[in-house]
Amino acid sequence: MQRDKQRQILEDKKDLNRFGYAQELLRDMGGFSNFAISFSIISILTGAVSLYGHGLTYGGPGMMGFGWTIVALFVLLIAASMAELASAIPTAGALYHWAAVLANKRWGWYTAWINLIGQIGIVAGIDYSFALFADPLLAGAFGYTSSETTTLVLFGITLLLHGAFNHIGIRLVARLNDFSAWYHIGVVVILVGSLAFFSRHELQPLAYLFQVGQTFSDQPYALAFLIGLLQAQWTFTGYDASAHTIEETINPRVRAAWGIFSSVAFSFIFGFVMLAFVTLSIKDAAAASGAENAFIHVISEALGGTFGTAVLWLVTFAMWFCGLSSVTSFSRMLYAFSRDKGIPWSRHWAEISVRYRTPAKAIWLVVILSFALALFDYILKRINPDTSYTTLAFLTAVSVVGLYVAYGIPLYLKLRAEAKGLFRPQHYGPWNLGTWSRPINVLSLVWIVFISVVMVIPPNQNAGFALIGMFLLLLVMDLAYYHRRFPGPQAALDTTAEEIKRQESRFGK
Amino acid sequence: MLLLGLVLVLLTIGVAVAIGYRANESVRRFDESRHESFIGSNRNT
Repeated sequence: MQRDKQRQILEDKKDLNRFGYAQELLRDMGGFSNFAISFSIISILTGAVSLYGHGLTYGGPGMMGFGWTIVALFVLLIAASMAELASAIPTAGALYHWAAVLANKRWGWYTAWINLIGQIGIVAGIDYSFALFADPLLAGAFGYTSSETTTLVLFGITLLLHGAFNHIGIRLVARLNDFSAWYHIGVVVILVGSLAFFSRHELQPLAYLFQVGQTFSDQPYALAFLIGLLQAQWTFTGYDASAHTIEETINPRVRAAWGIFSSVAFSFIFGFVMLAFVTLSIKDAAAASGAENAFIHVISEALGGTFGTAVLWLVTFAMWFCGLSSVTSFSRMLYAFSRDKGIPWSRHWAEISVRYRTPAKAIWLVVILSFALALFDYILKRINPDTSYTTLAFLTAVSVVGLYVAYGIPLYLKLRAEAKGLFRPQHYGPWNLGTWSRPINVLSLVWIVFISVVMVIPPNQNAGFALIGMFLLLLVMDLAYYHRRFPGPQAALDTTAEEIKRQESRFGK
Repeated sequence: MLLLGLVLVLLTIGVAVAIGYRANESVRRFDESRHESFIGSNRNT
């Protein structure tokens, strides 16, 4: 068994070496760990819970039945399309690496940066969600008043902790991710069981879950429903983590692909069951949507103060695990992009800690960038305190658009390369969709275009402005410097076997 | 709407199972000797 594992690791290392890269990261993750990291980042207990009020306010109870399922249906197609590419081109750069080899290095460079923007949004959004939930709970326990400032401070402390855990090593993080996956399932079971058997009032009839036409916003229902989709769409992000940890996964061409796809599929099932029971426990939807935190309101109404608080602590810890995994994923993407010299001071971010085998500097850059994004929004709100959007909606919309555009670019380029006869059946990895691939890719792209527009329509237009601003900045960076100086991942192909060996020897190989 | 909702849920589960089945078949039938690395065959710059 151990010998088989070592043989597989050697094969995987050779596969990676063919792309011109040394095996610097520790390859120790099994199939479950790879699934667990994406399942933990999707984290139904983070996205679906923290934006529960958003979904309910805009789409009413029908958002949980229809909205969640419609989004999941299309995200399954996107995940399957990405899984195919991960199987064909298994490197930690993932999206940008796929874009670079399917088209050219400039496509890769833009994909990387757009992915990076989305990753900043997702790490910030997740840890900010944790702070939003934990701060009032801690305020109650320690007798201080929760405010936007205390939330921001707690957010900063959380990021620091996640940075430290990730710095210490992938073994520890992988074990915590494994635990996190079971933890998520366990909390959903406890939550659903509590609501089913101990609710103070009778559950609503099942039809309530699919009740459409009711919105608590000032928008017409059809538009409000679309805006409410942010809840589900943001939840279903971050599953590219299975691809970003591909150089740490044993037999990644199969296991990472399954990790991407199955994390979405299982999140749909468990998320649907959880949202169904929470929504059917609503006593007064108008009061819930008007509450500061709709999810806390519904749980407290149904289960009472103490039980409700206990469940909320459980949910809040799940968000902590989600943040931990998202830092892992983002730092690997940053490491891979820096390895190809795509960002300023790349040499530092591509450095691997010899002691811990982790991209330590990239991890701390992730922490700083994520904090800076939330701080930027905090300052904006100090300047303009009458603003109607929430920090969370801003962060999540930035991450949804950034990530999904980055997911979409390689899918489009793959279709283009296929049409040109460049990407042929022999290029698929073991995990592929055969003749279903093309229609699934096309449907995925249609959804990505649609959702990218929907996510930035008012009242979330600030996210759109922020994204346009960032894109303009990218354009300037590209034209002023990178279009001539970014070597792209193709340059790594010229790395000699001796050089790769030399790099690997630093880690005792 | 309840019926429509349930059909949608079942459809989503059906799509997930079908894709999973299809991918599993591909993994089982994969022939390494016929596989070609895309990056090696297409060195765009």
